[in-house]
Amino acid sequence: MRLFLMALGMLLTTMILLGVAGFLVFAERRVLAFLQNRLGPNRLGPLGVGQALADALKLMSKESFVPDFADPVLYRAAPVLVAFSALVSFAVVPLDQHFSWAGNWNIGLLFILAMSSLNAYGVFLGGWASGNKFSLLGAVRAVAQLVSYELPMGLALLGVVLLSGSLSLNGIVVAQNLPFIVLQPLGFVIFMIAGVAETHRLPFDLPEAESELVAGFNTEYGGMRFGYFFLGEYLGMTLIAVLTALLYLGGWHGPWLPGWIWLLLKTGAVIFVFFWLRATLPRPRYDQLMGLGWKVLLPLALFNIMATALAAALWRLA
Amino acid sequence: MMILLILLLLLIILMTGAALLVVRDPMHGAVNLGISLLALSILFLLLGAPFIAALEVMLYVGAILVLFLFAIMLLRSPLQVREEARWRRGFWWPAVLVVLLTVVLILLFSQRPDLQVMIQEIGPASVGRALFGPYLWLTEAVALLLFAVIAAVLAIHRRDAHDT
Repeated sequence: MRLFLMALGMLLTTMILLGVAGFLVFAERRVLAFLQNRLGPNRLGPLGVGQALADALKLMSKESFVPDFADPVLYRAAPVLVAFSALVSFAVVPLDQHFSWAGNWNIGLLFILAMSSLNAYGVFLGGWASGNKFSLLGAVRAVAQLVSYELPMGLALLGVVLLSGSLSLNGIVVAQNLPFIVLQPLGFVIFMIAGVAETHRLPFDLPEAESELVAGFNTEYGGMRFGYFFLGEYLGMTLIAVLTALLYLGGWHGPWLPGWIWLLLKTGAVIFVFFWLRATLPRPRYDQLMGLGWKVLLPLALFNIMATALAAALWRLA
Repeated sequence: MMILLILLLLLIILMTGAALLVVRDPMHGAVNLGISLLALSILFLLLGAPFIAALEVMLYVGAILVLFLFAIMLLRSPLQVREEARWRRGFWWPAVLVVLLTVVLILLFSQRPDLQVMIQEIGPASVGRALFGPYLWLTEAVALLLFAVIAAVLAIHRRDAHDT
């Protein structure tokens, strides 16, 4: 009975997350249109909400094919890996202090970092297995981007871990009497930039780069396999947003409203910043992206962690 | 139940290890290695070392294997059909080792059917305390070594005046 309830709960969580990802696709189109002084999809249902459902149906009804020149096993496995790794990461994300699957797990943050490297594998293998040179270029970029931005991200997170003394997301939020964005402004900026790069969102969507690589790693994908990549991207964006809210913006702490509403509001605000970035910034050149990662963010992250450690040590002395 | 799971993971590790010897495409070899490392990480998790399990995925799958992939991609053109002997010379010794490991595994579990897995969970905090307590000098030595490696890489990669 217990197992059955657990399975049901997992199914429900997954369905809700997939729904959120689908809705975000629509929300992004509307917000982008609003920012660019257009209307966006507004026909289907109130405010056009039905568009998300219509897109999902369209993708599901398309033929699911494997190109002749692709590596069949890896080509099929890659999109699933992307969606799976993003979904599983949510297991350690708490909605409230007492409402999560594994929010108290003592390696929660490390688990998310580990899953994000698996996520990049999905993108990479998909690009490689497509057997197309544009896809391969996208895959190479995805891997290089992963290596360059995982390091500053991990180092920025170390500052939070130092201050809270915990690797579980619950512990980190409980430790925030003052939101960590006040104590870690530099770490917050580094985490956000690295987060945008990790999820391959604009302006750092160089593995995809429609205008140069004709959609990069997913050039050869269609139908629901393409849909998995899409879901993975939006789930990854949601994950980074919810992490930002939990780690830097005080999580569920807030006056008047119940905690989980605060968390959702903060997450929504960060997601809006993601959309806003997309509407505002042009895509950098590839060497600029690498240069930013290695020559700016990494030294800054190292400086941040040293300063944090020093400040924490002095605080303890005083 | 636990022992079955552990056996399954060991089997996966052995099979992917053996598959590394027979696959033709280097990329398939890398994927097999990745699966083997993931299974190893779950094994660590089951045996009560969550910190090591997470590091296994982050460092080995997320960083070291990525370097292998880079090398494979930069050295070979994608997905071309290559005619290569299936039984290469480098095949035999690793194959013997895989067979030996399998035999040891079978012997181990058949000799001791009552084998109890004693699991004591070692969390990240105690790992940290050990690293910066009794093993502090060792940690510092490793750090120094890594620093030397970084310096060496920079020196090798330095552009001389005539290169530019």
